[in-house]
Amino acid sequence: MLIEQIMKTHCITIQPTNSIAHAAELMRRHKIRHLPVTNARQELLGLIGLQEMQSASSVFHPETFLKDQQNAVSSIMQRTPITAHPLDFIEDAAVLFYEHRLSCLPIVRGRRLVGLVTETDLLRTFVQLTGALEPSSQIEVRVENTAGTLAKIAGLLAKTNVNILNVLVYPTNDPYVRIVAFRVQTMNPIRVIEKLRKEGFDVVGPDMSR
Amino acid sequence: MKEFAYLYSPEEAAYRFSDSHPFNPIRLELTLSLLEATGALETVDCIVPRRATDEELSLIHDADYIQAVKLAGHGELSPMKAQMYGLGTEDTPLFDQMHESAALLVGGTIEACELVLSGQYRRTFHIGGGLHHGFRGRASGFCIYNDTAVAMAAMIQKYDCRILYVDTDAHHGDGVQWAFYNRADVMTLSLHETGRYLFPGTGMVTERGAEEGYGWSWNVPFDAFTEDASFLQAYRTVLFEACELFKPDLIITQNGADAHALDPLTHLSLTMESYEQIPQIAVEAADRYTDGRIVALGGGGYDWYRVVPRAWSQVFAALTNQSPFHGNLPEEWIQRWQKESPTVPVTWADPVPLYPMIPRRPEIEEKNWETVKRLLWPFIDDSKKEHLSFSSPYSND
Repeated sequence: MLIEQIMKTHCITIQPTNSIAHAAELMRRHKIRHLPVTNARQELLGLIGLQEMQSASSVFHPETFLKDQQNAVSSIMQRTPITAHPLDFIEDAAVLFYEHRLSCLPIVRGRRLVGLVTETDLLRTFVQLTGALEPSSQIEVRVENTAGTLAKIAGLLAKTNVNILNVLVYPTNDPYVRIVAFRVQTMNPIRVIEKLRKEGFDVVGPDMSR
Repeated sequence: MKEFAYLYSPEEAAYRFSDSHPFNPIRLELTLSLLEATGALETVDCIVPRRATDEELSLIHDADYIQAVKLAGHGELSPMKAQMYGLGTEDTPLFDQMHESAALLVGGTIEACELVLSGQYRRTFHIGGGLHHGFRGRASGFCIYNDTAVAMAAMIQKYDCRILYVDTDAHHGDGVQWAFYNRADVMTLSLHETGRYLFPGTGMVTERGAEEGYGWSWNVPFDAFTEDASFLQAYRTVLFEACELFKPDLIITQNGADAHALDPLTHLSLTMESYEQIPQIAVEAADRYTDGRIVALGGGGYDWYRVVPRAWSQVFAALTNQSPFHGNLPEEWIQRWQKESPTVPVTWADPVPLYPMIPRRPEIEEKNWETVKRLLWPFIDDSKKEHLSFSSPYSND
């Protein structure tokens, strides 16, 4: 999946000469936590988030608060924010979020801002990837990490005329064992589960002792 | 005003996918014959439902979907197109006259609501209704049309009323929830097993409604192996809280019986104890908040012989002001159905113990109560919060 498939393209932006008070007002009105700072050609100059907003005035000098709020956004913005390209993989973007503890990633093509991805967008995408938003049952199979296992399971499912919405493979504590999780479009997975068990697969379900 | 009527027609048995399909109309026959054997049917009115009109169906469903169901029921829909509408799948295979029989179930539920809101009856029971997975333009989870959603839309149009929908089926009542997700005139309350493994996977506490409907969609997802005490405590608490806040004119209950420990499709561990209490508590809530107005529907339930007839008969008992049936089941009923299945029960209650002890019980109870608290937190004042924290099954240990 590419960034351009999940990024928001209608971004609220601010110009470097605008006041901090204006930035605060924009964030409040649109219920957002970040504002990319751009010039008239939509080129990205910086980024302000809640952290930068807090640095605008000192709590020890409340008397200067109103004056500080009239300073230009450019005085507090991050000048070299980490950015990504619309054709980057979302996996790579996720690593950026993780390694640099980002909460917002401006997407830039040439020098122009073309979109924004926030941690919320990434999370939503992740939920979508698990297939949990469409009516389905989940079947989990504990398998050895060898070639051809997934194909074997998929082949069995194909014979039951049950539509697979989604497949996830995730690791366990044992490096040789993985869990393959299928979301199947049926309310009655019993036949599928029986078929898998008959072929010797270890189907995992709710466990009353764990 | 009369007290009670039930809606039934033998023609409802035509909503039938196949012999091996879990959703089987034999459930209606088993229940009716059990009630007949107890003598409970003699003094009450039975009303034969009519079919819902296309106009009524289109209050919820898309015209092209209704058309597709009609064609499918006459073998005139291509398999490719059928798949697009969720028809001809493992869950909702094609069968002859599928539109006509599905529309009859919808008509039954509309009629059940109409009889109550027009003031002819205080309580009604439509065992054939409760198909809560049906979507606007797609069949899902054994359901073609969403009888409840259609009936609620029709009633609101005619009576401008507020309806509380209470769903105790083990599966999340997703079709009904999404149909009214951004409306303030219907509140949906669904109690079900979590979507970790179970269909449809939705029904989290965080699904609270949208726009004007925000706050009027309530979900209580229970951990697998939840037992009677934990379920009933949560159910009673959220039901009365919902009534208090929403102030409904009518309560509609969906009485799926698949949260029972013996049900093959789900992983909850309720016994008949819950199925005796659930409808009694619903009637109590209706008496207190809606002047007694309540419509009960059927729903899921896939252990046809052991669970469903007893569970639905207990709904009947509650609606006719009786305490739950107890003791032995009628001999003639046992004899008749023993010919069909060796699992036919002989008493109203389940044998004790019905299942092995569940080692995780304290953990499950704690988790479920936390779920209830998370659901109710935004709606209740501090003294109630304190009360809920105090009544936690965990802190009482």
